[in-house]
Formats: sequence, C-alpha cells, structure tokens
Amino acid sequence: MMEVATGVSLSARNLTRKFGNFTAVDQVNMEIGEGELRAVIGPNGAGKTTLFNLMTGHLRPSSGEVWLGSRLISGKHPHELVHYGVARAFQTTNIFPSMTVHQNVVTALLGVSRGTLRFWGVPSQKIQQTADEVLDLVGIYPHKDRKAGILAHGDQRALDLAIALAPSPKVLMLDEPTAGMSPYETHQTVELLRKIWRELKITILLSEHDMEVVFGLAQNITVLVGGRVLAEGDPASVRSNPEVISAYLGRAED
Amino acid sequence: MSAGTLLVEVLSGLSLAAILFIVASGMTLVFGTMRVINMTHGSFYMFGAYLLAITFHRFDQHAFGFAGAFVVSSLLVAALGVVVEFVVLRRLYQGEHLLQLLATWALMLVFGQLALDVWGSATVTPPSPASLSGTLSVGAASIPVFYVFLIAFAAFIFVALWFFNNRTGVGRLLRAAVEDHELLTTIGVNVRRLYTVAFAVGAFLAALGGALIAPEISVGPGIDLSILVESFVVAVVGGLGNVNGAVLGAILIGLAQSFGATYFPNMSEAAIYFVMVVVLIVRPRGLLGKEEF
Repeated sequence: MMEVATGVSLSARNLTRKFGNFTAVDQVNMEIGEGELRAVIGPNGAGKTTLFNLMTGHLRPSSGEVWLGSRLISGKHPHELVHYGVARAFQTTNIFPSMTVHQNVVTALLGVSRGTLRFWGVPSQKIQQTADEVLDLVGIYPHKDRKAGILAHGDQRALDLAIALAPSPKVLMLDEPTAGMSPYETHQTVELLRKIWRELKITILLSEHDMEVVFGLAQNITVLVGGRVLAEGDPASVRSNPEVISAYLGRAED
Repeated sequence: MSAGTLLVEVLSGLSLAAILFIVASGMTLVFGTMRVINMTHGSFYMFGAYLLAITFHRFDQHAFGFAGAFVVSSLLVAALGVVVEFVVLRRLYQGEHLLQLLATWALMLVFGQLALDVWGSATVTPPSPASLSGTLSVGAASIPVFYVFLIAFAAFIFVALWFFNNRTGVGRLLRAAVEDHELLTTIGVNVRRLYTVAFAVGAFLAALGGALIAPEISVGPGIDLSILVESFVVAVVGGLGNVNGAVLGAILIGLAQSFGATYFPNMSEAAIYFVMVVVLIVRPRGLLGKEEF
C-alpha cells in the first residue's frame, strides 16, 4: 500500500512526549523513506508541531527514539541536526530582514560550513554561487540584491525555504507551509514544493491541517489525532478511511 | 575663549569619548547579540583597571610595557567573562530578561565587595607610561599626548570592530544574531557558543577601557558603578545594540562631560543625563536605534 523508496530516511520509534499529565505525542511509530514526500495531517492540537519538535531536537522525547538512517538523533541539539542533514522551516517566516536576499542565504551557508565559529569565514566564490543556485531554484533570484524585509510575503516564504535548502539537507521538514496563505499563494507554494522535491530528490516531511492541500502533493499521508497515529497510507486510502473521516474530517473547522 | 582652550576642551571631551566608546561598544555588542543588559560590565572595567595597576609594575614603564600590561589584563577579564557566561547566564536564557538583569546585578555587588576585600578602599593610580606622558604644543595650546593616544586607540578599536563584524565568520553570525537568534539555530549555528564568544568580547572591551584609562584616574571602589551608568547612557543615546551609534553617543556624552565640567561645574554630573533626555525625546530608540526591539 505504501510506496516507499529504497532506504529509510527518518524514523520515529515509540516516540512519546508528555507535558505534565498531558500526552502530546503518544507512542508514534513512523518510517519515512529516502526521497519520499510525506505529509503529517491532523486537526489543530493533534500533536504535529510537537512531533516535529521532537524530530528536530527542539524537544526531548519522554520516551522513544528518532533515527536518521542508521544514526540515533534524539537527544541531539537542533543545530547539530542541521549538520547531519535535517533542515526545518517553521510556520512563521524566519529571515534576516535587514540583509539582502543573497546575504540571507550566504549567512545560512556560513552557519553550516565546517567550523561554524571559525574566524576567517569569508564567503568564498563557491558559497556565492551555491546561494545563487538556491535562489534560482525557489524563484527569487531576480530579487537577490533587495532587502529581505521589503519582499512580498510569498517571496519571504520562498526565501525562508531557500535558507533551509542552502546547506543541501537530506531531509526538509516544513511546518504548515501554507498557513495563513490565500488560495493562490497556497497553489504557488504547493507547486514550488513539488518542483523542489523533483529537482533535489530529497526527503520532505510536511505538516498540514488542511487535508486538501496535501492530497495532490504527498506520496503518503500520516494522520495524527490526539497524539496518536490514526491512519497511514497513500492519499486515496487515507481519504476513504472511515476512521479518518469521522475522527478528523468531521472536526476540522479551519 | 581662545581657540587653544577650545581645542584642549574638545580633545579632552574626545578622550573621554574614546574610553566611553570602547566600554559602551562592548555593552551594546552583548545587548545586540544576546539581549542581555549586563550589569557586570562595569565590574569588568574595574577589574581591567585594577589588573593594569598590578601588572604594569611588572613590566618596564614604557609604551611596550603598558601594551603588555593591558593586553594581559584584558585577556584575564575576558576569561572571567567566559566563566560568568558559562556558570550563570547560560542557565537564564530561557527565563525572563529580568532574571538576567538581576543575576548580573548580583554579580556586580559580589565583584565590588571582592575588589574591596582584596585591594582595600584606598585608590591607586598606576603611573602613565613614560612615552605617552608629556604634552604636544599646538600653537599656544598644550595637549596631553595621552589624550591623542586614547583617541587614536579608540579609532583603531572602531576599525577593528568593523572588520570583526563585517569580514569574519563569527562577526557575520553575531550580526545575524542581532536580527534573529532562533533562525541561527535553524541554520546550524551553535548559538550557545556564539553567546560565549560575544560575552567574552564584551568583557574584553570593558576591561580594555578600564586598563587604558587607569593611569588617568583614581582606581578604587565605585568606578564599576559610575562607568556602568555612563556606558549605559552612551549605548542608549546611540541606540542599544548599534556599534556605530555607540560612537555618536560616546562623542556626545564625552563632550557634554568635558564642557559641562568647565561651564556648569555645579551641574556637571547632570550634563550627560540632560543630553540623554533630549536625545530620547527626539529619537526614543536612540540616534541609530531600530524600531524592532
């Protein structure tokens, strides 16, 4: 039922996170294949963001493990995971507003270059060129010398993506990439993600509360409700799953 | 008033500004990067001054000995800065800013008492380095060589800071941290280590200011608090977090102190606050401050 590529990229094993008496993520098991485009969907409060935070080291699991290929990554700091190849873009737009678009990406490349705090971190020709390529991929190369803070909202989100993609990650994690977007912007973003996935052949894991956004995009969908995996599979099987229909679709209001 | 007196007055103000800039640039760097208002900044200055007074005797009393003494003093204080960041501040980044303020304030009191216990309440003034004492004659005016040295040195520090901020990897990341430190984690930067570096550089600059001015002042209890207030005023006037602003703030406040002492001796203490109030009425974020704080 699941069309999974060659190896396993990112996996969660019995992943659990409690906040006091509240269990936000409860015994989650997930295996995301290399080069897979997976969506995690669920109503607001289903535990999607907590799950992402556990996978990127922003939160430590109460129990369970996260693996990147054959490397145990739970318990590592978020900045270390970037060096292992896990990139993340958040729900809010994160850019350096007073730098130019190009400087934003160069800074991202500086961050991940070997020996982050090395004294002579002068951007080399190669870094400049990589930055240009990433900007071209997300479609904002023409704006490269403009200040990031004055870009249109959609272009800022594209820059946010470019920052995440700059260090050539193996896995890209996106928190509700279309949150707060108009239908047109949502369509643009979906097309951009599809293009990135096809050209870079990287693993993409995205969370979304709007099911319709991911049906045309994701290969496989994991449905999270109340911190537990309710269903998993390709879009068609998830859509027709009666449990999903009653538990999730019936409740989602936004 | 003659042109000569005016020149001396201006140079005296600028030499005050030189020290204020060096100290305040450290404070503004730490605030800009870490959002910490570091109340121990004055203590670092005080330790720089005391350490210079101690170590200068071990070197010969010429410019080279002075250079050796103040480099040693400043580096020791930078190491103390690393310890403070590691042991105290690191635990408080998650909490409210008020906690950091209170913790560094408590440390200021501890360091103040420590200095009193170790060095006593008497003041010391280390000798001026022989090659930097004396005066230059410009027309009718005689200008202390040390003033010129301080101003030149502050200019050198400004250029060095500019180079550090704009041409080195650490400096670029520090500037990026001013804008969005969470995004730095996202791009793989060890922000904790970056903060340690920033705090050490801040402590180094405070100590450098203290060590440089030591031969000109009475080094004793209380200099930590007075420089803390003055450098805070400079940083606020220039715009907290902005090194270029610290230059403007230091020049304004230095000149206000110098001219205030000459023309309004009864109110000279108030002169710098008067300048601050006027600047903040016109530009609430300081001369070069940005809105987004």
